[in-house]
Amino acid sequence: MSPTLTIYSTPWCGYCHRLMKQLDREGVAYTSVDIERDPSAADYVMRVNGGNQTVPTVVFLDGSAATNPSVKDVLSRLATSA
Amino acid sequence: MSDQRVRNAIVVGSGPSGYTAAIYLARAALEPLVFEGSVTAGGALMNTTDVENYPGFPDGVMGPQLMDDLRTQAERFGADLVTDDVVELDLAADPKVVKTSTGIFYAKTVVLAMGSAYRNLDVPGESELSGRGVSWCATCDGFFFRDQDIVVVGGGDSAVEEATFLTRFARSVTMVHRRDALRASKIMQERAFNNDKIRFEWDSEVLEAVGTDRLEGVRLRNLKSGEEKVLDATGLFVAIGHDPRSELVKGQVELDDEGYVVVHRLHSTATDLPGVFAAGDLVDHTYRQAITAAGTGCAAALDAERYLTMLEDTPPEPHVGFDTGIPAEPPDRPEVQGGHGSAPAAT
Repeated sequence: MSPTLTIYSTPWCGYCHRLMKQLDREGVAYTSVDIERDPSAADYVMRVNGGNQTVPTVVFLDGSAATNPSVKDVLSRLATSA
Repeated sequence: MSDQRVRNAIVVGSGPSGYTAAIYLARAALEPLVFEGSVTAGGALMNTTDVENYPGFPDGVMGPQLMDDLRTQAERFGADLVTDDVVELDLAADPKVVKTSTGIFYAKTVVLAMGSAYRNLDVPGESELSGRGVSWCATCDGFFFRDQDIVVVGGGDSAVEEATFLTRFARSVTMVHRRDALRASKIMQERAFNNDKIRFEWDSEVLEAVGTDRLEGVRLRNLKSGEEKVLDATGLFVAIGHDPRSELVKGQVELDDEGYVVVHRLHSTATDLPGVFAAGDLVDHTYRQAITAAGTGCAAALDAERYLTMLEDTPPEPHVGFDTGIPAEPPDRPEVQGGHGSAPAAT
Protein backbone atom coordinates (compact mmCIF):
# COMPACT_ATOMS: atom_id res chain seq x y z
CA MET A 1 0.00 0.00 0.00
CA SER A 2 1.48 3.33 -1.00
CA PRO A 3 1.75 5.97 1.72
CA THR A 4 -1.13 8.40 2.02
CA LEU A 5 0.72 10.62 4.48
CA THR A 6 3.88 12.64 4.52
CA ILE A 7 5.39 13.47 7.90
CA TYR A 8 7.82 16.35 8.05
CA SER A 9 10.20 15.99 10.95
CA THR A 10 13.61 16.72 12.38
CA PRO A 11 16.05 14.21 13.87
CA TRP A 12 15.71 15.74 17.37
CA CYS A 13 11.94 15.97 17.49
CA GLY A 14 10.51 13.56 20.08
CA TYR A 15 6.94 14.17 19.03
CA CYS A 16 7.85 13.27 15.44
CA HIS A 17 9.41 9.98 16.45
CA ARG A 18 6.48 9.20 18.69
CA LEU A 19 3.92 9.84 15.97
CA MET A 20 5.83 7.70 13.48
CA LYS A 21 6.13 4.84 15.98
CA GLN A 22 2.42 5.07 16.76
CA LEU A 23 1.57 4.95 13.06
CA ASP A 24 3.93 1.99 12.66
CA ARG A 25 1.97 0.16 15.33
CA GLU A 26 -1.30 0.99 13.57
CA GLY A 27 0.10 -0.32 10.29
CA VAL A 28 -0.28 3.06 8.58
CA ALA A 29 2.28 3.74 5.86
CA TYR A 30 3.81 7.19 5.56
CA THR A 31 6.69 8.99 3.96
CA SER A 32 8.94 10.89 6.32
CA VAL A 33 10.91 13.93 5.31
CA ASP A 34 13.73 15.34 7.44
CA ILE A 35 13.47 19.05 6.85
CA GLU A 36 17.00 19.65 8.10
CA ARG A 37 18.27 17.63 5.16
CA ASP A 38 15.88 19.16 2.68
CA PRO A 39 15.54 22.95 2.92
CA SER A 40 12.89 22.97 0.20
CA ALA A 41 10.78 20.73 2.45
CA ALA A 42 11.23 23.23 5.28
CA ASP A 43 9.93 25.96 2.95
CA TYR A 44 7.01 23.72 2.05
CA VAL A 45 6.16 23.12 5.72
CA MET A 46 6.23 26.86 6.41
CA ARG A 47 3.97 27.45 3.42
CA VAL A 48 1.34 24.86 4.40
CA ASN A 49 1.59 25.83 8.05
CA GLY A 50 1.07 29.53 7.78
CA GLY A 51 4.74 30.38 8.16
CA ASN A 52 5.42 28.19 11.17
CA GLN A 53 8.45 26.00 11.05
CA THR A 54 6.87 23.43 13.29
CA VAL A 55 7.23 19.68 13.25
CA PRO A 56 5.78 17.14 13.11
CA THR A 57 3.65 18.44 10.28
CA VAL A 58 1.50 15.83 8.59
CA VAL A 59 0.36 16.43 5.04
CA PHE A 60 -2.47 14.31 3.66
CA LEU A 61 -3.05 13.27 0.06
CA ASP A 62 -5.53 16.10 -0.49
CA GLY A 63 -2.87 18.65 0.47
CA SER A 64 -4.34 19.49 3.87
CA ALA A 65 -1.97 19.61 6.84
CA ALA A 66 -2.02 19.03 10.58
CA THR A 67 0.55 20.18 13.13
CA ASN A 68 1.57 17.72 15.85
CA PRO A 69 -1.68 15.74 15.60
CA SER A 70 -2.44 12.78 17.85
CA VAL A 71 -2.40 9.39 16.16
CA LYS A 72 -6.15 9.29 16.77
CA ASP A 73 -6.60 12.52 14.82
CA VAL A 74 -4.58 11.14 11.92
CA LEU A 75 -6.54 7.88 11.88
CA SER A 76 -9.89 9.64 11.96
CA ARG A 77 -8.87 11.96 9.12
CA LEU A 78 -7.74 9.00 7.08
CA ALA A 79 -11.04 7.21 7.78
CA THR A 80 -13.01 10.28 6.73
CA SER A 81 -11.12 10.70 3.47
CA ALA A 82 -11.17 6.97 2.61
CA MET B 1 -14.12 0.39 22.70
CA SER B 2 -15.47 -0.50 26.13
CA ASP B 3 -14.60 -3.46 28.29
CA GLN B 4 -16.99 -4.88 30.88
CA ARG B 5 -14.41 -6.98 32.67
CA VAL B 6 -12.88 -5.65 35.86
CA ARG B 7 -9.16 -5.20 35.43
CA ASN B 8 -6.67 -5.57 38.22
CA ALA B 9 -5.10 -2.23 37.47
CA ILE B 10 -5.45 0.76 35.19
CA VAL B 11 -2.59 3.25 34.86
CA VAL B 12 -3.57 6.78 33.89
CA GLY B 13 -0.63 8.49 32.22
CA SER B 14 2.73 7.40 31.00
CA GLY B 15 6.18 8.93 31.27
CA PRO B 16 8.76 7.31 33.53
CA SER B 17 6.28 6.84 36.39
CA GLY B 18 3.38 5.43 34.36
CA TYR B 19 5.52 3.15 32.23
CA THR B 20 7.51 1.88 35.22
CA ALA B 21 4.27 1.15 37.08
CA ALA B 22 3.10 -0.69 33.96
CA ILE B 23 6.32 -2.75 33.80
CA TYR B 24 5.99 -3.86 37.41
CA LEU B 25 2.25 -4.55 37.20
CA ALA B 26 2.66 -6.47 33.96
CA ARG B 27 5.58 -8.46 35.28
CA ALA B 28 3.43 -9.42 38.26
CA ALA B 29 0.96 -10.87 35.71
CA LEU B 30 -1.67 -8.26 36.63
CA GLU B 31 -2.26 -7.31 32.98
CA PRO B 32 -2.53 -3.55 33.47
CA LEU B 33 -4.37 -1.34 31.05
CA VAL B 34 -2.42 1.86 30.45
CA PHE B 35 -3.89 5.03 29.01
CA GLU B 36 -0.80 6.84 27.80
CA GLY B 37 -2.46 10.06 26.66
CA SER B 38 -2.97 11.07 23.04
CA VAL B 39 -0.62 14.04 22.85
CA THR B 40 1.09 13.61 26.21
CA ALA B 41 2.22 9.99 25.70
CA GLY B 42 5.74 9.60 27.02
CA GLY B 43 5.44 12.63 29.27
CA ALA B 44 7.84 15.49 29.66
CA LEU B 45 10.84 13.54 28.40
CA MET B 46 9.37 13.50 24.91
CA ASN B 47 10.35 17.15 24.74
CA THR B 48 13.98 16.66 25.65
CA THR B 49 17.04 15.60 23.75
CA ASP B 50 19.88 13.89 25.60
CA VAL B 51 19.11 12.59 29.07
CA GLU B 52 22.50 12.34 30.72
CA ASN B 53 21.53 11.64 34.32
CA TYR B 54 19.37 8.52 34.01
CA PRO B 55 21.39 5.71 35.60
CA GLY B 56 22.47 2.95 33.30
CA PHE B 57 23.18 5.08 30.25
CA PRO B 58 26.82 6.18 30.49
CA ASP B 59 26.64 7.86 27.09
CA GLY B 60 23.22 9.41 27.72
CA VAL B 61 19.97 8.49 26.04
CA MET B 62 17.46 10.47 24.04
CA GLY B 63 14.36 11.23 26.13
CA PRO B 64 11.94 9.88 23.51
CA GLN B 65 14.10 6.77 23.07
CA LEU B 66 14.10 6.12 26.81
CA MET B 67 10.31 6.42 26.89
CA ASP B 68 9.96 4.14 23.89
CA ASP B 69 12.18 1.57 25.57
CA LEU B 70 10.16 1.70 28.80
CA ARG B 71 7.00 1.30 26.76
CA THR B 72 8.40 -1.70 24.91
CA GLN B 73 9.49 -3.22 28.21
CA ALA B 74 5.96 -2.86 29.64
CA GLU B 75 4.45 -4.32 26.48
CA ARG B 76 6.84 -7.28 26.60
CA PHE B 77 5.34 -8.36 29.91
CA GLY B 78 1.76 -7.97 28.76
CA ALA B 79 0.73 -4.40 29.56
CA ASP B 80 -2.15 -3.25 27.39
CA LEU B 81 -1.07 0.21 26.19
CA VAL B 82 -3.64 2.55 24.71
CA THR B 83 -2.77 5.90 23.18
CA ASP B 84 -5.82 7.73 24.42
CA ASP B 85 -6.81 10.28 27.04
CA VAL B 86 -8.85 9.55 30.11
CA VAL B 87 -11.66 12.07 30.23
CA GLU B 88 -13.40 11.07 33.45
CA LEU B 89 -12.73 8.96 36.53
CA ASP B 90 -14.92 7.61 39.31
CA LEU B 91 -12.34 6.48 41.83
CA ALA B 92 -14.70 5.99 44.76
CA ALA B 93 -16.84 3.48 42.84
CA ASP B 94 -16.33 -0.25 43.21
CA PRO B 95 -15.00 -1.20 40.77
CA LYS B 96 -13.35 2.05 39.78
CA VAL B 97 -14.55 3.56 36.54
CA VAL B 98 -12.27 5.00 33.87
CA LYS B 99 -13.78 6.73 30.85
CA THR B 100 -12.05 7.70 27.63
CA SER B 101 -13.57 9.44 24.64
CA THR B 102 -14.35 6.03 23.17
CA GLY B 103 -15.15 3.70 26.04
CA ILE B 104 -15.67 2.81 29.70
CA PHE B 105 -13.32 0.57 31.65
CA TYR B 106 -13.29 -0.90 35.15
CA ALA B 107 -10.52 -1.76 37.59
CA LYS B 108 -9.87 -2.75 41.18
CA THR B 109 -6.91 -0.38 41.42
CA VAL B 110 -5.87 2.79 39.62
CA VAL B 111 -2.39 4.24 39.43
CA LEU B 112 -2.44 7.98 38.75
CA ALA B 113 0.60 9.14 36.77
CA MET B 114 -0.60 12.21 34.87
CA GLY B 115 2.53 14.21 35.59
CA SER B 116 2.76 17.96 35.70
CA ALA B 117 2.84 20.68 33.12
CA TYR B 118 5.46 23.37 33.22
CA ARG B 119 4.04 26.82 33.13
CA ASN B 120 4.83 28.60 29.91
CA LEU B 121 5.70 32.22 29.44
CA ASP B 122 3.33 32.34 26.49
CA VAL B 123 5.60 34.65 24.53
CA PRO B 124 6.59 34.50 20.87
CA GLY B 125 9.49 32.18 20.15
CA GLU B 126 9.05 30.16 23.31
CA SER B 127 7.57 26.97 21.91
CA GLU B 128 9.41 27.23 18.59
CA LEU B 129 12.79 27.34 20.34
CA SER B 130 11.94 24.76 22.97
CA GLY B 131 14.82 22.32 23.10
CA ARG B 132 16.95 24.70 21.06
CA GLY B 133 17.81 27.17 23.76
CA VAL B 134 14.53 27.43 25.63
CA SER B 135 14.34 24.95 28.48
CA TRP B 136 12.36 24.21 31.61
CA CYS B 137 14.89 21.99 33.35
CA ALA B 138 18.30 23.27 34.41
CA THR B 139 19.49 19.97 35.81
CA CYS B 140 18.56 18.30 32.56
CA ASP B 141 19.94 20.78 30.07
CA GLY B 142 22.31 23.09 31.94
CA PHE B 143 25.42 21.16 30.97
CA PHE B 144 24.84 21.99 27.34
CA PHE B 145 25.33 25.70 28.04
CA ARG B 146 28.89 25.60 29.24
CA ASP B 147 30.60 29.02 29.07
CA GLN B 148 27.52 30.65 27.63
CA ASP B 149 25.20 33.44 28.74
CA ILE B 150 21.90 32.26 30.17
CA VAL B 151 18.67 33.92 31.25
CA VAL B 152 16.51 32.47 34.01
CA VAL B 153 12.95 33.76 34.33
CA GLY B 154 11.30 33.69 37.74
CA GLY B 155 11.89 34.88 41.28
CA GLY B 156 10.96 31.99 43.50
CA ASP B 157 13.00 29.27 45.14
CA SER B 158 13.03 27.12 42.04
CA ALA B 159 14.25 29.97 39.83
CA VAL B 160 17.08 30.78 42.25
CA GLU B 161 17.91 27.11 42.53
CA GLU B 162 18.08 26.81 38.76
CA ALA B 163 20.15 29.97 38.42
CA THR B 164 22.58 28.87 41.12
CA PHE B 165 22.87 25.41 39.58
CA LEU B 166 23.48 26.89 36.14
CA THR B 167 26.42 28.95 37.36
CA ARG B 168 28.34 25.66 37.50
CA PHE B 169 28.39 25.75 33.73
CA ALA B 170 27.46 29.17 32.49
CA ARG B 171 29.57 32.25 31.86
CA SER B 172 26.76 34.36 33.26
CA VAL B 173 23.22 33.87 34.50
CA THR B 174 20.78 36.77 34.39
CA MET B 175 17.68 36.43 36.51
CA VAL B 176 14.65 38.23 35.09
CA HIS B 177 11.92 38.96 37.59
CA ARG B 178 8.76 41.04 37.44
CA ARG B 179 9.33 42.60 40.86
CA ASP B 180 12.19 44.45 42.53
CA ALA B 181 12.83 41.67 45.02
CA LEU B 182 12.97 37.90 44.86
CA ARG B 183 10.16 35.82 46.29
CA ALA B 184 12.62 33.10 47.18
CA SER B 185 13.46 32.24 50.77
CA LYS B 186 16.13 34.32 52.51
CA ILE B 187 18.80 31.66 52.34
CA MET B 188 18.21 31.13 48.64
CA GLN B 189 18.33 34.87 48.01
CA GLU B 190 21.63 35.13 49.83
CA ARG B 191 23.06 32.38 47.70
CA ALA B 192 22.02 34.24 44.59
CA PHE B 193 23.28 37.63 45.77
CA ASN B 194 26.61 36.12 46.81
CA ASN B 195 27.15 34.42 43.48
CA ASP B 196 29.36 36.54 41.21
CA LYS B 197 27.98 34.94 38.07
CA ILE B 198 24.37 35.91 38.77
CA ARG B 199 23.04 39.25 37.58
CA PHE B 200 19.53 40.65 37.90
CA GLU B 201 17.04 42.39 35.65
CA TRP B 202 14.46 43.65 38.13
CA ASP B 203 10.94 44.81 37.34
CA SER B 204 11.16 43.16 33.96
CA GLU B 205 9.11 40.80 31.89
CA VAL B 206 10.05 38.64 28.93
CA LEU B 207 8.40 39.70 25.70
CA GLU B 208 10.01 37.31 23.26
CA ALA B 209 12.45 34.49 22.80
CA VAL B 210 14.51 35.80 19.89
CA GLY B 211 16.16 33.52 17.36
CA THR B 212 15.58 31.41 14.31
CA ASP B 213 17.12 27.94 14.59
CA ARG B 214 18.50 28.56 18.05
CA LEU B 215 17.93 31.09 20.76
CA GLU B 216 19.96 34.24 20.24
CA GLY B 217 18.46 36.62 22.75
CA VAL B 218 15.61 37.48 25.06
CA ARG B 219 13.56 40.61 24.56
CA LEU B 220 12.68 42.29 27.85
CA ARG B 221 10.53 45.20 28.93
CA ASN B 222 11.09 47.14 32.11
CA LEU B 223 7.70 47.40 33.75
CA LYS B 224 8.48 50.73 35.44
CA SER B 225 10.15 52.61 32.59
CA GLY B 226 8.58 50.77 29.65
CA GLU B 227 12.02 50.49 28.08
CA GLU B 228 12.64 47.44 25.89
CA LYS B 229 15.93 45.73 25.16
CA VAL B 230 17.31 42.44 23.92
CA LEU B 231 19.67 40.52 26.19
CA ASP B 232 22.08 38.33 24.26
CA ALA B 233 21.64 34.76 25.50
CA THR B 234 21.82 31.25 24.11
CA GLY B 235 19.84 29.71 26.94
CA LEU B 236 16.47 30.73 28.39
CA PHE B 237 15.32 28.74 31.40
CA VAL B 238 11.71 29.19 32.39
CA ALA B 239 11.19 28.66 36.12
CA ILE B 240 7.87 30.32 36.78
CA GLY B 241 6.42 27.18 38.30
CA HIS B 242 4.52 24.18 37.09
CA ASP B 243 1.20 22.67 37.80
CA PRO B 244 0.31 19.05 38.45
CA ARG B 245 -2.14 17.62 35.98
CA SER B 246 -4.64 16.76 38.70
CA GLU B 247 -7.77 18.26 37.16
CA LEU B 248 -9.17 14.78 36.44
CA VAL B 249 -9.12 13.75 40.11
CA LYS B 250 -10.06 17.04 41.74
CA GLY B 251 -12.79 16.44 44.30
CA GLN B 252 -12.08 12.71 44.40
CA VAL B 253 -8.68 12.24 45.99
CA GLU B 254 -7.12 14.69 48.39
CA LEU B 255 -5.07 17.41 46.75
CA ASP B 256 -2.86 19.89 48.53
CA ASP B 257 -3.13 23.64 48.13
CA GLU B 258 -1.02 23.53 44.98
CA GLY B 259 -3.06 20.77 43.38
CA TYR B 260 -0.65 17.90 43.98
CA VAL B 261 -2.15 14.54 44.89
CA VAL B 262 -1.50 13.80 48.55
CA VAL B 263 -0.04 10.44 49.48
CA HIS B 264 -0.47 9.78 53.13
CA ARG B 265 2.24 7.61 54.48
CA LEU B 266 5.97 7.68 54.36
CA HIS B 267 7.15 5.18 51.78
CA SER B 268 3.70 4.72 50.31
CA THR B 269 1.98 5.94 47.18
CA ALA B 270 -1.53 5.38 48.61
CA THR B 271 -3.96 8.27 48.25
CA ASP B 272 -6.84 8.77 50.65
CA LEU B 273 -9.00 6.49 48.47
CA PRO B 274 -8.44 2.74 48.86
CA GLY B 275 -6.99 1.19 45.74
CA VAL B 276 -5.88 4.51 44.26
CA PHE B 277 -2.18 5.19 44.09
CA ALA B 278 -0.26 8.12 42.70
CA ALA B 279 3.26 8.52 41.38
CA GLY B 280 5.64 10.80 39.55
CA ASP B 281 5.33 14.53 39.08
CA LEU B 282 1.66 14.40 40.07
CA VAL B 283 2.78 14.04 43.69
CA ASP B 284 6.33 15.36 43.61
CA HIS B 285 7.00 18.91 44.78
CA THR B 286 10.66 18.42 45.19
CA TYR B 287 12.69 16.29 42.82
CA ARG B 288 10.87 15.97 39.49
CA GLN B 289 13.50 13.82 37.88
CA ALA B 290 12.95 10.93 35.48
CA ILE B 291 14.58 8.54 37.92
CA THR B 292 12.51 9.65 40.92
CA ALA B 293 9.34 9.40 38.83
CA ALA B 294 10.32 5.89 37.77
CA GLY B 295 10.99 5.07 41.42
CA THR B 296 7.59 6.14 42.64
CA GLY B 297 5.97 4.44 39.62
CA CYS B 298 7.58 1.23 40.78
CA ALA B 299 6.40 1.86 44.35
CA ALA B 300 2.83 2.51 43.16
CA ALA B 301 2.78 -0.78 41.29
CA LEU B 302 4.06 -2.65 44.34
CA ASP B 303 1.50 -0.90 46.54
CA ALA B 304 -1.27 -1.79 44.08
CA GLU B 305 -0.09 -5.37 43.91
CA ARG B 306 -0.07 -5.61 47.69
CA TYR B 307 -3.55 -4.07 47.87
CA LEU B 308 -4.87 -6.61 45.37
CA THR B 309 -3.38 -9.43 47.42
CA MET B 310 -5.07 -8.08 50.54
CA LEU B 311 -8.38 -7.79 48.69
CA GLU B 312 -8.14 -11.46 47.83
CA ASP B 313 -7.33 -12.31 51.43
CA THR B 314 -10.27 -10.32 52.80
CA PRO B 315 -13.12 -12.68 53.69
CA PRO B 316 -16.36 -12.11 51.77
CA GLU B 317 -18.77 -9.64 53.27
CA PRO B 318 -21.15 -11.44 55.71
CA HIS B 319 -24.75 -11.66 54.64
CA VAL B 320 -26.43 -8.63 56.12
CA GLY B 321 -29.62 -6.70 55.64
CA PHE B 322 -33.31 -7.51 55.90
CA ASP B 323 -33.19 -11.04 57.29
CA THR B 324 -30.58 -10.38 59.94
CA GLY B 325 -31.54 -6.91 60.96
CA ILE B 326 -27.91 -5.89 60.70
CA PRO B 327 -27.61 -2.62 58.83
CA ALA B 328 -25.62 -2.94 55.66
CA GLU B 329 -22.33 -1.12 55.85
CA PRO B 330 -19.52 -1.04 53.43
CA PRO B 331 -16.91 -3.67 54.25
CA ASP B 332 -13.67 -2.51 55.76
CA ARG B 333 -11.18 -1.99 53.02
CA PRO B 334 -7.68 -3.26 53.56
CA GLU B 335 -5.15 -0.62 54.34
CA VAL B 336 -1.97 -0.55 52.38
CA GLN B 337 0.92 -0.20 54.76
CA GLY B 338 3.47 -0.08 52.00
CA GLY B 339 7.08 0.46 52.89
CA HIS B 340 10.09 -1.00 51.25
CA GLY B 341 10.39 -3.77 53.79
CA SER B 342 6.83 -4.94 53.48
CA ALA B 343 6.29 -4.64 49.77
CA PRO B 344 6.10 -7.90 47.88
CA ALA B 345 9.25 -8.91 46.12
CA ALA B 346 9.17 -8.28 42.41
CA THR B 347 12.59 -9.24 41.25
